[in-house]
Amino acid sequence: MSALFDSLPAARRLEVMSAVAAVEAALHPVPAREFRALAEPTLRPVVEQVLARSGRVLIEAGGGYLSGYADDVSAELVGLGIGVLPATQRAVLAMVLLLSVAVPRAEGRLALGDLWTRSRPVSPDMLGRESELAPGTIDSAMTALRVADLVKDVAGGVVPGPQFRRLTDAAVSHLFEELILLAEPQGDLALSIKRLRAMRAAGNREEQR
Amino acid sequence: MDDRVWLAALRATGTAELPHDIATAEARLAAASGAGRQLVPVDLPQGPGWAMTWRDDVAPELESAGSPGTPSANPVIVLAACLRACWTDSAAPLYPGGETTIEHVTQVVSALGVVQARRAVNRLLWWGYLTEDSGRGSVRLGPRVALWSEADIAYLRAEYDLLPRDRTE
Repeated sequence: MSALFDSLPAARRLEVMSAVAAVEAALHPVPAREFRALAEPTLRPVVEQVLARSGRVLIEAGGGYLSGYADDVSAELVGLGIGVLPATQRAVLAMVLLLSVAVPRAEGRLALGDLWTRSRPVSPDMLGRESELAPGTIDSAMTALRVADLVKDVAGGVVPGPQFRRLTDAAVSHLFEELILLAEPQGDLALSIKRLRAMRAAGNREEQR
Repeated sequence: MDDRVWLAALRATGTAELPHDIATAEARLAAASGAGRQLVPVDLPQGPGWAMTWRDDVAPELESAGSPGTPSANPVIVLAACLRACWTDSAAPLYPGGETTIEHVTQVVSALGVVQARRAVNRLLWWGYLTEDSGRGSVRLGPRVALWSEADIAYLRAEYDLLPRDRTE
């Protein structure tokens, strides 16, 4: 896997590593023009290979690039209890996603490409009305989510934070499936998701035999 | 756990305990280097550990494209107050230093006009610049401080008297 990287001259290797560091550290998408290793189609796969060494993948977002956890790696980390939010923070974040992204998307007012940039702000009052959580619980969860860049303040309330742009396509699909299961567990779409998951699980069991 | 999952876990948690055998430790160091990182020794509550930072030759520069961004003023002031309170002898190593209370830090920074010091402390805890003894209201310097270069620490040492402290002491 590393043969491609090792075959590069030292200067190119450094360019690849600098691009890796940028997409790993940046808060917002890194424009490809800023790093030769991102701009050149022959070097970008090498960036992906180096990211893969630490369980990461390159993600196109907002006209630039970021990195995120590879799907199999994030599943393994969750299995180990690493990076899992406490229950109340998860509940508050789910409400934010439901009200700011999932509902506007279901109403056809939010395109897939605009999920994390044009989401509808959710006011703390709305969260209090729509959930059974105490206001103090919502406030402390919101503080922690803000610090982790999982939500951000905008005029009119909060929206999902910049970390959501680090999700892979598969992770976004999984997230939306979970929101559908949460919002309408007995709806047609939810039942279809459950059937698909059952089929996938059966397929996996078959493969393991 | 294979190296790539171990490195991903280290990114998520910030620190890891040292492996029990030298062969694994060497493999982890090599894997980190291959991913552009270096592992730096830190003191963890449970014993010696590692934190991960960029290799010196690839570290993103502040204010360049892809840099993690500059923090707002309040966390910087609160961190400065924590440095002064935890690093009482500037001739001694900065890390791990001693401990201080959130109450003390709040008092120091409020004189500088910082309100909501607790919010800044929360950010610094999340980023790993501080660690907290939960329930006791005390904080110590976190593993991210252990990653600072000797040049950065020499600069801080030279400017030690400018770090905010309790003027009534």
